[in-house]
Amino acid sequence: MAFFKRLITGKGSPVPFKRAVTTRDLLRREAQIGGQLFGPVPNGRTRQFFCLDEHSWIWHETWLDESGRQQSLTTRYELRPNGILKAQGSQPYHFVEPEEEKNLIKAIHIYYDQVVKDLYGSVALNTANA
Amino acid sequence: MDETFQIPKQPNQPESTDMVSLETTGFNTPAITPRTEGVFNNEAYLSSLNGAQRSETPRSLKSMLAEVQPTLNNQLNNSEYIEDGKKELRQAQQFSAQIIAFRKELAEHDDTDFINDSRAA
Repeated sequence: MAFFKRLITGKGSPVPFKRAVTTRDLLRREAQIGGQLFGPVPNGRTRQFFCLDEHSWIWHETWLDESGRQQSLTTRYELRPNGILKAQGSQPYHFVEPEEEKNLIKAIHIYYDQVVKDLYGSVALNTANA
Repeated sequence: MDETFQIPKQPNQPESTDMVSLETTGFNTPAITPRTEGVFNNEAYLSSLNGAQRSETPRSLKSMLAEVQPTLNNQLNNSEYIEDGKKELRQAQQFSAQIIAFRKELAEHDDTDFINDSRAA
């Protein structure tokens, strides 16, 4: 657990963790991992991709426009039994096309593998042994 | 005053010229025009229709099936694709649920209020 706590601080510091690990900490770390799944992020751009809850996935990206102002875009995907709903910015929800659905599902698989490997390995192992 | 486009009605203008009135035919049916009468009474036209039907050779069930088979195959493949898609979607939902379970297991303090807040937003 100590190793994990250092992992969350992101510094690998031997300084003891000052507070309990929160869901938000884990989510933040997941979002970092998720943001790196799609290749290198250009300078001046941040990308986060994470599982918000059992049904929702978020893609959040920020970048600087030509005038140097920060822009951001949040895309929200809702997994439903009959398809995946998508809402981007202030646009209303709509079902995604099969190609986008396929790509998102693939990304969820890779995300799952990666967070289990980097973050939840011990928990996943305990769950499997239980 | 309403300035919308209006045609003043002539004093002796009939209500409608499209329909034959009940008094003249006994049925409130569209009037039979010379054009439609021409089609149905035209011997040459009717003969040409019959001729076209007779010229078609009877087709076997086998040839008809061979013709629709590609469409049927496409539909079958499509339904398999949809079924696969649903299976993958279910799997993605299971992965999501498992991630949440791992997160809850590992977090020493559950501060998920912000998630509920974001859902409300």
